[in-house]
Amino acid sequence: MSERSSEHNPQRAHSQQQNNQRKKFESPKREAILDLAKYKDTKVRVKLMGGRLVVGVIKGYDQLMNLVLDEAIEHLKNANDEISKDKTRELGFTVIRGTILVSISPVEGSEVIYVQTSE
Amino acid sequence: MLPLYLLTNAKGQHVRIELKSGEIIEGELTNVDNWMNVTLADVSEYSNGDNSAQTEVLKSSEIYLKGVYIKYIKLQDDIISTVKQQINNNQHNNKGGNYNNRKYNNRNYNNGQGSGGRRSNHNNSYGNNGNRDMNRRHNNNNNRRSYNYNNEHGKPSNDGTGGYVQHHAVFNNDNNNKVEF
Amino acid sequence: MAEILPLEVIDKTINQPVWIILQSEREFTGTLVGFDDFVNVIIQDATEWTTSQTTGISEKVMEHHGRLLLSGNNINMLVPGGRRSGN
Repeated sequence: MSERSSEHNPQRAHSQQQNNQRKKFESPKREAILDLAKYKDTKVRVKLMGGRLVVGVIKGYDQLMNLVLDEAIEHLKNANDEISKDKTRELGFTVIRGTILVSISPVEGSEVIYVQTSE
Repeated sequence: MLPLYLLTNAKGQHVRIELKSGEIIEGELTNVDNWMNVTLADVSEYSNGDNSAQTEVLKSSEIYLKGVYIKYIKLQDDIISTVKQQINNNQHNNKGGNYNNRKYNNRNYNNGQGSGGRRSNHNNSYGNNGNRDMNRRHNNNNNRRSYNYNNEHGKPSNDGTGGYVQHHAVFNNDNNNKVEF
Repeated sequence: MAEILPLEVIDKTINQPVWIILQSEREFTGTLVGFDDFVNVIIQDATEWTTSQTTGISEKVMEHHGRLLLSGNNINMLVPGGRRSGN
């Protein structure tokens, strides 16, 4: 049993990744892989199916990744159907459906950089 | 080698993911679940409008992506051999891993069928938990048929591989070899 | 550990104005009558809008009198309290 539980301990699993010789073969997880508790009361960017981008402060969430965001702002799109940085509209206190959530990432510590592409 | 198992054991590696929307996301794979939902660390997001000389990149510390929205995941080129090595390491590290078992697994890899090895590997780790040699040999003899059985019904229960073992154990050994979850 | 659960928030919105944003440019406002686990929703005296995703400007499509059942399939967001005054 002790061997099994180590497979599900992310900390241990990660340290095993460092040491190539002792890596363990792992199965995909059935439990939640993202702990939203650490993002509570912080700003996150949420992308939705259909292309919406919503930024807001996480106030609540559930197992299905339904979210409660406060001070939510939806980014509008520009003419090319790309998400605009400055054109937004205010939604306020909002419930977002987990079924249509595509991605979620913290705003804090994120930055936009520009990379020169060789042509 | 099932895709999700390969992916699960690619944790810690750098991956490139394209979403159905065409966006590309790169980062270190930190977690994977049964639905191919993933988390990445040290993330770079590239939008698909890359017609100009400058590409805009959004960097963030972490991202969670829904599996259903992933188009593909580009892994390191040596991923398959790396994971195979992991499996082998796992077996060598198992004191209970006997010679027959290893030979069986190796043959399987040469045939390009990771499935038997994957399962046996787990038999091994459970075998260590107070299991007898008898069970293991028994399992090996029935490996192929048992895999087909599971394949037809196509639903790994619980955590996937463990599920196969559980079915197998229950069918062959009654309560003798019960696996707890 | 007082968690705010999303479905609880929706539950507290019952009998109150709600603003429902679908996956497309369509939106509904009205009074929330009820919902289920799939977040299929019933709203009373709903107004249907289309909102441009480039300008954010809404145009009224029609008013629905009585109750309206909205499939949860296409619902992206629910905003308790109804449409923001800025919109």
